[in-house]
Amino acid sequence: MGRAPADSRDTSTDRQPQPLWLCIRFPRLALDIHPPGQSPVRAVINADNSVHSVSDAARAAGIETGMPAGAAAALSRALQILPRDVRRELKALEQAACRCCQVTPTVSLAPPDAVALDVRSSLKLFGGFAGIQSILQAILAPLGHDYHWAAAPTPEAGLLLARCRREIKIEGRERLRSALGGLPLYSLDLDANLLMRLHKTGIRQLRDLWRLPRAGLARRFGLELVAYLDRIRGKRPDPRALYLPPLQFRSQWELPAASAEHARISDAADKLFRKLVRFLRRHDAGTAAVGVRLFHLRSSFTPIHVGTREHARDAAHLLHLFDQALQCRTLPGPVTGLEMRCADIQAFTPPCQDLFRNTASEAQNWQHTLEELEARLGGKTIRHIESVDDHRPENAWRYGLSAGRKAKPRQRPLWLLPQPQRLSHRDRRLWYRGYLTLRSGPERIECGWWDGQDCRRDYYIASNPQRARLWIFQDLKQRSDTWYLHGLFG
Amino acid sequence: MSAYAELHCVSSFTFLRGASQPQELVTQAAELGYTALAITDECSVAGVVQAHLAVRALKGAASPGARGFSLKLIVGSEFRLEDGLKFVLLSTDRASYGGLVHLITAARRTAEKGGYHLTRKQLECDVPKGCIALWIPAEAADPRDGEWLSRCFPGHTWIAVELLLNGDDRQQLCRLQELGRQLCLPLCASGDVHMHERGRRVLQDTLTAIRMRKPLHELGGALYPNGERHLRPRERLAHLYPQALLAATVAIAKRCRFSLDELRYEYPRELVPNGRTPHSWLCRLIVAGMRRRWPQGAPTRVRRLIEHELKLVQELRYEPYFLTVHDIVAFARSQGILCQGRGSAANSAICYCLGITEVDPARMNLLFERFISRERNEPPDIDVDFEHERREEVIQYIYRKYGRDRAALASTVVTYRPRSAVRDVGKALGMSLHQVDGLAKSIQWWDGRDVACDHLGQMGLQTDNPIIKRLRYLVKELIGFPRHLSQHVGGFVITAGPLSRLVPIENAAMPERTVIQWEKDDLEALGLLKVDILGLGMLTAIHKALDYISDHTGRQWVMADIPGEDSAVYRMLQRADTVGVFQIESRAQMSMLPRLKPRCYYDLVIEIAIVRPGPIQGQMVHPYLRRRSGKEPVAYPSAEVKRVLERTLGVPIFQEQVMQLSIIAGGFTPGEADQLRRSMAAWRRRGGLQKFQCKLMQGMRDRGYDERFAGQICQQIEGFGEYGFPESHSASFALLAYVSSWLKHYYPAAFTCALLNSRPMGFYAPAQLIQDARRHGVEVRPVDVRYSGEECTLEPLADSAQPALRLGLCMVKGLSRAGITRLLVARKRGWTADLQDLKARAGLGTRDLGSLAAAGALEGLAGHRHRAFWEVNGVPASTPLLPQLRFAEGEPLLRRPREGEDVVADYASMGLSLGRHPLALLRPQLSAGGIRQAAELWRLANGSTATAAGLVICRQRPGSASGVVFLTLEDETGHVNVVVWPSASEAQRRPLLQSRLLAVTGAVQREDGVLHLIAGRLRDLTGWLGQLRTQSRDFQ
Repeated sequence: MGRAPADSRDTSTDRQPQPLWLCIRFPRLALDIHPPGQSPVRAVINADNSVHSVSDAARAAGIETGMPAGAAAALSRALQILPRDVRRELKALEQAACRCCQVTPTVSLAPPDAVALDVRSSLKLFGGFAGIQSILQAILAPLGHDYHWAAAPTPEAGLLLARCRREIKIEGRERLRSALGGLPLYSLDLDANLLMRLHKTGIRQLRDLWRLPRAGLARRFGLELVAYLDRIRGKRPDPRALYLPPLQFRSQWELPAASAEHARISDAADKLFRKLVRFLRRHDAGTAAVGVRLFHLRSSFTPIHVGTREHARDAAHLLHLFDQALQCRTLPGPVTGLEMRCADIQAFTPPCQDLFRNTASEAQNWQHTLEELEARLGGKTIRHIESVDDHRPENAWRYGLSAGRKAKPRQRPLWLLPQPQRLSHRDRRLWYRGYLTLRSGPERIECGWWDGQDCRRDYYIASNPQRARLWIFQDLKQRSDTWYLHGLFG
Repeated sequence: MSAYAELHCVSSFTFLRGASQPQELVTQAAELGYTALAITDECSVAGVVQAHLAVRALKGAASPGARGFSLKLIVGSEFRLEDGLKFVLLSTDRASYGGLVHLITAARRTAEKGGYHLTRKQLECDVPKGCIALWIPAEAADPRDGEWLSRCFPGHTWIAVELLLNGDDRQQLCRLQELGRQLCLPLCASGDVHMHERGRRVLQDTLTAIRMRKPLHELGGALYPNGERHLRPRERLAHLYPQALLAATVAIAKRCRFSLDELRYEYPRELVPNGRTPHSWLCRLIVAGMRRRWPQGAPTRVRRLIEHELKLVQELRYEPYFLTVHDIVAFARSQGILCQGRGSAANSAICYCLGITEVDPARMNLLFERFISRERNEPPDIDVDFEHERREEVIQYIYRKYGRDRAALASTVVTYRPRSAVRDVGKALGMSLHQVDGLAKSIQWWDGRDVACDHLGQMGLQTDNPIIKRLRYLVKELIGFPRHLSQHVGGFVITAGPLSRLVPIENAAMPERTVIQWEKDDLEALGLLKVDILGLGMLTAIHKALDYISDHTGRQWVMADIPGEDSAVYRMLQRADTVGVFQIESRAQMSMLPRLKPRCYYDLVIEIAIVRPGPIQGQMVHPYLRRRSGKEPVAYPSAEVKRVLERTLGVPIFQEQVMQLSIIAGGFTPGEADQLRRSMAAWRRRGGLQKFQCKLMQGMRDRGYDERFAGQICQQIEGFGEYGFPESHSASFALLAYVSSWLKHYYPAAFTCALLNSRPMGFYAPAQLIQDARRHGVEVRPVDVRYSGEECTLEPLADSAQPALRLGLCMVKGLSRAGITRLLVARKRGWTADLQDLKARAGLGTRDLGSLAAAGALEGLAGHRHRAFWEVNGVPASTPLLPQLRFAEGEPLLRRPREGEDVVADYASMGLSLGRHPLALLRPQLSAGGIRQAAELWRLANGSTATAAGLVICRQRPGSASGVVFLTLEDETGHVNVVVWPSASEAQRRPLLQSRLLAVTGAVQREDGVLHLIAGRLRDLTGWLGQLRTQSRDFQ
């Protein structure tokens, strides 16, 4: 969702107390978002196949950030390699930011792995800086991420310190110059190329940079560097986008008296759905999943899920789907109340309207029919048949969630048995409800050795006295004369 | 049973499609009793020579009347036009073969490397007359296609019926029969063969996956549905096809009368002046050469040798060959390009007279007949090395002289090696990129034909995992399979008539280069003339060094001016002081030199040949050394053997000796001995040494040699494998080794300068060459933008005979060539010693200036490195309006770099430093840790324990050393040779493979003037170096 810019404070002249940015960095976020595996030796790999971050055990084995994955794997046979997932990292970071909102509303994300909070205005409320620290610890502990903190009058300085793992609090911009002077050049959040150029010029610590003339620096290394240095020391305003927690809807309705009547329950649900839709309209949003809990006596409840195929906000339709789902359930007892929860809220795109025809188009109707079916049957129960490019008949199709491509025109029966059925012989002739006569073939299929389902078969089309056309094969992997029925032609 | 000829069959030379080698196809077809087999690779005849040889071998092996005798090979090719029309062309006689080859050339030359492009129009222009065409109709074939094809090949067109159990074979046959009636075309059977037996289906599927660059499970319909595309038994074919279709194949085969044996080769004629025969002209040139070589008249022994050789040459009519090589060498001489011949015929007396080689026959004991044998009926083989930087001139001369239609480079078939096989098979099986990469990389170090189990474990893979089982099986199958054609390093074929009627020509990767579709061995087998034009870096270096010495001494020096057999030079070699010397500078050679103690030229010939995996695995090194030092008596099992082995004290060291032993002791004919040599070269890939060994053992037993001696010879032959080194090559190399040693001993500055300017070459990086030169008292001066040239140069020194060596601008990493040129031009015009001026006049970009600053080359203009960078970054770009924009700026507060920082920066920019050795800077720390200097180790008692540390400059794991890793460490006093046994390396792989600065604790072992440290504990000290960037050159 959108982020609002924080008020851009003028930095040097105001008399108000200076902000105190508490920056929290999660050094192993990229690793933590992966579920624990069997091996403690783990490394996250960038898209370019270099190591991004490593676990303690991996570090002990000599694996370091930046080395190629191949080299890392050569160092430890137990190494578990995980691909980097920037989107999940950002999600985890947002989760942490969401929790931090309990301390101050001024929370800002500093991807990929840090958040910055201005805690100045919360100091009193939580009993000073120590109070904030202990409450943060309690808030963040359930997330299970390690973190380093640092507090400084500017967010950049705080982030810089947190990156260097200096867990200190600096008050007053005038103290920044000396406090940051000893930090190494490579802790600056700059492009690697620029860092190398600075290094070549003999700059090793921030102190060396402070000493150089601003104009000369700007001319050689660009205005952006000087601007960044100014932001660090608070000589230039640094407006930051604030983090806003995601939208959620939650509402309850008590029935006047416990009831198992569907109409009553539906009435109550209708009220909640209308409320939900009003909420959605207000935020120009729609939803595709709504959870409803029907409470019974003694705090047990029946969950009912209402899902649509697209994000929508049509109360009548949602209610209709709810009713369908309700009808298919047997409730364990009378219902005392309802609770509606909706977390899946996204920007709403209304369907296109045709100028002349009133098109609740066929496709939409079809979608509604499917939704209804799913509501009745519960869950994702509707499957389609897809064709798969494979020579093996049993692998040439599969169930999918949407209608698949068309199959190639080949002589294949419409009905394939789930398992080939062994054919018997009578009087040394193949028998299936009568003697079989081979009509065409053979079609030899030898395929699939690579996935353990090697098949070697000769397929024939056969017919029996009932004029059924059968698809049968001889299994070449077994001793001769082992025949199976695999399908029936229409 | 009905007779059958397979007319449509692709071999492994239809790359990544055919799944059987030509030999396998031929053998199988003979086994099945086929009348004929056509090898019809797609727009190629690259595989036919191998098939031809296989047929020849079968004929040789089969007793008359046996099966296999009757198999006939047909040369053909499969084509697919750009509009999809597919057909096979078969050559019927020499003329139609020429036409076919011409068509292939035309189709190949208009496409990129590896591909071909053929349209109907092109085919109509270049119809190979006389060829038989088999039309392979698509499923819904257009009758007009067949009509068009039959118009191109009137009366020679058939419709090929390929029944491959697709389920509708019967309908297909009917359809094609109807098509034949419609078009009045006859039908024949064929099999679209891709493999010699059904079992290759797995490999064929894998090849398809590699070709499509997709894992197998994603391929689906792109794979063949079954394995029917193999050579099927005739019984089955009789079952599938009507009799008439099978009979048609035999009738077609009967019409194909062409055999590769018909390709009679004609030498170019223009080398002999009018009115002379090749023989009289060659005699004349030789007489002139004799006069030059022996102004006082040649010794009788040589005279007799020359007469003998000439007679042999005349008998075999090889005069044009020698004339061709002589012509090329004469051209090089006239251009002042150093060159030297080597190889079988090169070290003959006549080649010495013709100036092809400098190896004096009076000094050598080489018998010419050994290299040109009457029986083998193969042209002699001469490789000529030229200065590598000027080889292209020679190649262009050949093209000019004979024309591109008569001269071309031979190709090399690039085959699958363990590493590439693992990579491609792994990908085809759907393994992750990183797994495949890891596996392939680990094979570099732990090579072999099989993927060894322990490495799989290290990769986190289980040995019993089915994917791994498949991988191992397929890798084994795939190794040795051809992957693509590449350019041979320098094998030229030159013909009398147009080449494109003899063998197809296709484009190489290099622009303006073309290669023929046959390999060196193929040419040899067919008896075609081939000259190897090779580039050799050391010749360039020697030439440059001679030029520098000429400049310095004011007298023109040529290679012949270098005095022979200088004892001071040999004393230097005995000390193993050979960094930079040709062939004997490697670590293994260096540890051999003090033991072998070469005293004369022939010792060098042995030295070069003995430190090879062949003699080492054949266990010939120690017996030779023991006999040489008199610790073991020299004995021979018989007088004949003595004649062969006398010069190497009874131990076979050269490839020629092994061949000769097989003749005199094993009873081989010279032809058989030559076959043995060939299989020795190939047995690792293909196997097949067994039958020779049996025959050899039997032969030696029959001649009364004892079992032990025979077994020893067999073992030696096996060890020689592909690594055996011929005396004829060693003799030529030894000359260059001597010359380079002489230069190193007397003119170290010029020699080092020449080596640095002829890079890349040799075993050592510039840093080691320069360290070595400084240890020999050469003053080396840093790169300086005010004085350095593009290359390294020599600067006269007032009070010394040796000039100083000035490093060139080309050593500076990241400095562009154009920048160097502009800088040198600007300097010639004069500048005012100021950075801004330099930038303006030389038009150097910030990148180039930055590179110069990084190398410390601006010290003279702008001060220390940090200042130089500050200045370089601050020089404003000049604009037309303000060409000399200047800013008034305050002095920046920049610290001077510390000594260590300068050294680090030197290494980063140039890979070397003229400052103190990094280890010298770390010495206080090292000494505190009890780590000794390399020089100190020599003062320790044999067997005592010590710790040394140094930069890892070389890491080797030779295949012949069963898992031992050799390391060379460098510190400020010299090198330490470390031996790491597998017991020590397994547990310490990480420091062993990753350290750049390594400390080794182990036992000092000293023997014959060679010092080794036998590693116990390894410690990685790389962290101490900061960011010192030394790169070990890892050699296999």
